[in-house]
Amino acid sequence: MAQIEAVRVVQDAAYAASLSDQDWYALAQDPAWQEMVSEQSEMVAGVIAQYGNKLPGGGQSSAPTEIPVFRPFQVIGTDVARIQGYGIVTNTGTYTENLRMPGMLFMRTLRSRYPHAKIKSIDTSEAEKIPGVRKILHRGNLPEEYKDVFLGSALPTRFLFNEEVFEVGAPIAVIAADSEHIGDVAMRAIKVEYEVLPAALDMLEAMKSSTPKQFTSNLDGTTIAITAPLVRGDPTSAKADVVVDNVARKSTEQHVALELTNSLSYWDGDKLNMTYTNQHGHGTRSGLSQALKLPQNKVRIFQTGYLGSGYGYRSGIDLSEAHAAILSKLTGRPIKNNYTRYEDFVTRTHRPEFRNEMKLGVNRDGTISFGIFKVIANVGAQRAGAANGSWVNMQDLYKIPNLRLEAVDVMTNSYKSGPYRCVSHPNGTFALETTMDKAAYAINMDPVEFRLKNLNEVGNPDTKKPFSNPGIRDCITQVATAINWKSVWHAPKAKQVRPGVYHGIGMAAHLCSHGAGSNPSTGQVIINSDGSVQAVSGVTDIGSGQRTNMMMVAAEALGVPLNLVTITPYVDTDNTTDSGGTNGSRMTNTGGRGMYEAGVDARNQVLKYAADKFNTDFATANVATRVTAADVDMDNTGSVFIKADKTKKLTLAQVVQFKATSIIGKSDYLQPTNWEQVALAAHAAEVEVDTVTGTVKITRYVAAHDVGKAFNPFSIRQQVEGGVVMATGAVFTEELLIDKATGLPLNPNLLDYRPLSIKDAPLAEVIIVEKPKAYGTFGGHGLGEPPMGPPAPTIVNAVYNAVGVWVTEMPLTRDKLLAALKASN
Amino acid sequence: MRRVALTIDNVKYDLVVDNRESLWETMNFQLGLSNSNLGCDRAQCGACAVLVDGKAVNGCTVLSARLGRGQKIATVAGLATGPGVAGLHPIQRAFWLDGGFQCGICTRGFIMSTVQLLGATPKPTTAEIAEGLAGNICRCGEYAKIFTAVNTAAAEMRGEKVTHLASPVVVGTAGVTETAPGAAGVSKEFQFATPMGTIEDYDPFEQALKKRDGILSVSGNERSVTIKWDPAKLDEAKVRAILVDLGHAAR
Repeated sequence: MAQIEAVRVVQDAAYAASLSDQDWYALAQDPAWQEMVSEQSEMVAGVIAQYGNKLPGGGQSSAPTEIPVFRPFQVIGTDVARIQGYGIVTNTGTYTENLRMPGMLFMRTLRSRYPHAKIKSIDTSEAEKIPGVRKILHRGNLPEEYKDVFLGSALPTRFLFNEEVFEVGAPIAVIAADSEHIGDVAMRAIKVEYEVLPAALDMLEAMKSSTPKQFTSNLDGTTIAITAPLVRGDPTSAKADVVVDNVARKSTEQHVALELTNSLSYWDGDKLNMTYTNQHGHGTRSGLSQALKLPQNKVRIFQTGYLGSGYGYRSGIDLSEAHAAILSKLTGRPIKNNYTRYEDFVTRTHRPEFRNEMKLGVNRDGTISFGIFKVIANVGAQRAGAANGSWVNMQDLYKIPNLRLEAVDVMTNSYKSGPYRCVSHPNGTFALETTMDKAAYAINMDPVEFRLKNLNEVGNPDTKKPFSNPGIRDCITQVATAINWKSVWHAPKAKQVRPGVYHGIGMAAHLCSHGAGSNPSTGQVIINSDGSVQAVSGVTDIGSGQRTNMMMVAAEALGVPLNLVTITPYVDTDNTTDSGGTNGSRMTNTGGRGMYEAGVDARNQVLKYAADKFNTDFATANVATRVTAADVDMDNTGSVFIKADKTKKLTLAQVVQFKATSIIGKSDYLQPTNWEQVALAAHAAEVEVDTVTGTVKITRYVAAHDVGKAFNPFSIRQQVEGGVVMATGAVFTEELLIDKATGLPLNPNLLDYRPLSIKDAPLAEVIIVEKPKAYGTFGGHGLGEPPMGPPAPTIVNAVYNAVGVWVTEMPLTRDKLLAALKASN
Repeated sequence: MRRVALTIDNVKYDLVVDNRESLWETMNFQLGLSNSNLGCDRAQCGACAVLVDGKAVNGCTVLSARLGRGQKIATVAGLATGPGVAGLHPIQRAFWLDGGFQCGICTRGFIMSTVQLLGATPKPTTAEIAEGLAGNICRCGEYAKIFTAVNTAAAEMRGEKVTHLASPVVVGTAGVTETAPGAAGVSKEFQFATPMGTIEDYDPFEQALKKRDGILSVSGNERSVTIKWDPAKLDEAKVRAILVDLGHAAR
């Protein structure tokens, strides 16, 4: 069966139409497809609408559709610290990078220094002579069975070792050596002959038909995809009192996960074992199974449970992981592959560079008449989609009766795009929310009032899917109240607080499609003979506390105190079932639903067996009373009792011992698809802008998020606090640059691409809004990603309020601000 | 290759190291100590911070071959004084229970930098904390709670009583509800206006009281009860109202 190309299914209608039923099932197993469903639901929405009945579940769900009403919560809603905490603060926790095995060799990769080239020859003879070098693998000596293997969607096809490379950092050879230092020396001893080819390095240049084509596309030039525009009403003829234009640009950003991508691989006979920094164990297993032509049950992925996060870039494998596995097979030794910070920055994925051309028509009474929005994304050296992922807030957040949305994804020989915490939505929020403020000021209306007046609280106007209990109005009003908006907001450049320093206040609203479920959603809850409980889940913890949350959900659903339940920090694909990837902010909700259903299943069994035990005891005592499961309850202390007579009670241990075998609760749940599942938020900030130095200081920052139901408020506050800091880095300091002459990355290191330190970080005040949803678990909606959306427009809008200039090109560096101030004088 | 003796957390190791080998590589790969994490391998992020003779250094950039003159290397592995949550160093406990990390990869480095900071400045200002920890990057962005953790740890190290923002899960005996140590809350002892008839009357009362939202822990007897509650959900007046509701008003 040929490999189905996930991105091509979405971008090439003829290709999608050509797939057989078998192909659709294969596609559903593809971790790349699963990641798109979780992280880029807009990309796949059209395909799912048309072909959903061919995908597992056929668009059906197991879900009831009313907002769940639960017993008063005992565990959900409490502040619980991480189960990995002890291991993290001592030396007892092991991250993948802490692992080692006897006989382990280290891998190093020689990579292309040209953005577009043909590899004419490789000479490894000198390198192989270096003591300590054990094996060098490249295109010339790759075992025959792996020569047709490629990752991702074709064009440009990414074989394990390409003859034609399309990016700086493309792998050319891999070395297994006794130490990384020996590997480094060997790398430099390999001689490569390149034929350098012309490269497309500028996004707008690459769209031109004059740019040399590197492969066929649906437009002249190197542009790889134009998404069919979304049109609502009649945007070209619609009239408005005022038309506002806005060009908003964002630079390339990277995750900078502090644990460098690394893996440890070994073979146990013909079975591959890999511990790897990943966000989806079973997805990694699928990826390696495809790349190495192994059945899934011959690949075992292990996660230690301690992971230096991921932020979206490690849901699956890249070529290096396949290389490491093959090297391990050929050498018969465990292989440790530690990416350098350069490799991690350059060869993995990025939030792409965006250009947004926005036109908004508003009337003086504050109503929006039309919106014409075009999003262009630089997806780098691959076939991918990123631009239309910026659409959802433009479609859903405000009532815009006439709307035209365009999206273009441009291929260049540069940083490859991929999901980075909130994917394309920070761009959508940045573009729309700065435009909204421009419009508000153009008609002399309070930006908060303008938004409240135009809020859409019904659902997706184009698909007609409804929101469930949306909390966007609460988020905006609570944030405005918290920051004293009504008394603090003033006209632009109206408040000088010190000579040359001006106060400003700004806000932004956010809507994105992250936070709710996709499939699968599985898990088990096991009650042992002593009444102790095990929650078993394949959910990956990437640092946000997902596994702690799984344990809380299992305890709540079963109806026992938290300290009766354990969950391992680690995940082993050999003995857990898949609950999908920890991406798309879905996991607490989706993996949680697996725990919930399993917990409820176990609970129902407990009640049934308790009733049987009560009846057995009654019979023995010659008492006439008989009870059913409905007459029995659990009270969150681990006790099971008869409702009508609470003195009749059993412990969990007694119930299990009566059954004589463990009670096993199981789940295999499919999420509903009938809701427009959106995350909602609003942020506001006060700033001081120094017009002499061009610096912006955030003096106050408030953030409100609708989470449906707060499972672990302690972790929720962390997600918002941390997301605001992370996103603010992209506002002030973070951008990945390349040299336009050579295509070489200019700043792939932590001094020249600077995440915020403790000295720069804004400290957000967090408001948790709870409007329970009809989907998900306990009405909750996830929020790992949403905090990334509002900071950029919040700050840019506040800067405008302070000094009366718009800087809508990120990052907002001092020179840009000073130039804008100078131009306005 | 060079022979070198390293003293790590008061244990002496006799080693042969590659000249190019960093202290982090030696501790992590040769010795398998898992006491330090790597973030960038080039002294730009501080994740690998350990103390050498009390001074925080980047273990990724210190060469093992350059040590070996009796310098005392200190890592998180040497901080705890006993088992369990209670045996942790105040800085370790605060980073955990006050939420000073999310993924935790930077935490071992932050803890050692904090050890250095609080050793020199037992009562640091916010600016002094920021300066002392400026060399450690937290990509998850959890600086807000790092401030909280450092302040709480500093207070505990000065002998003050502290509470933490969250509870760890302490696996208990089946059927027994416990509150884990360190749970944040406000405590008060109440005398019953009318003592209960027998001690047996106390048990169901305690069970019912523990189920009320906001009540963190309960202990007592037929004459008095000590209650700890979550100040975010209850205050003393509300707790007294609960006691009235349960039939045992306090004086």
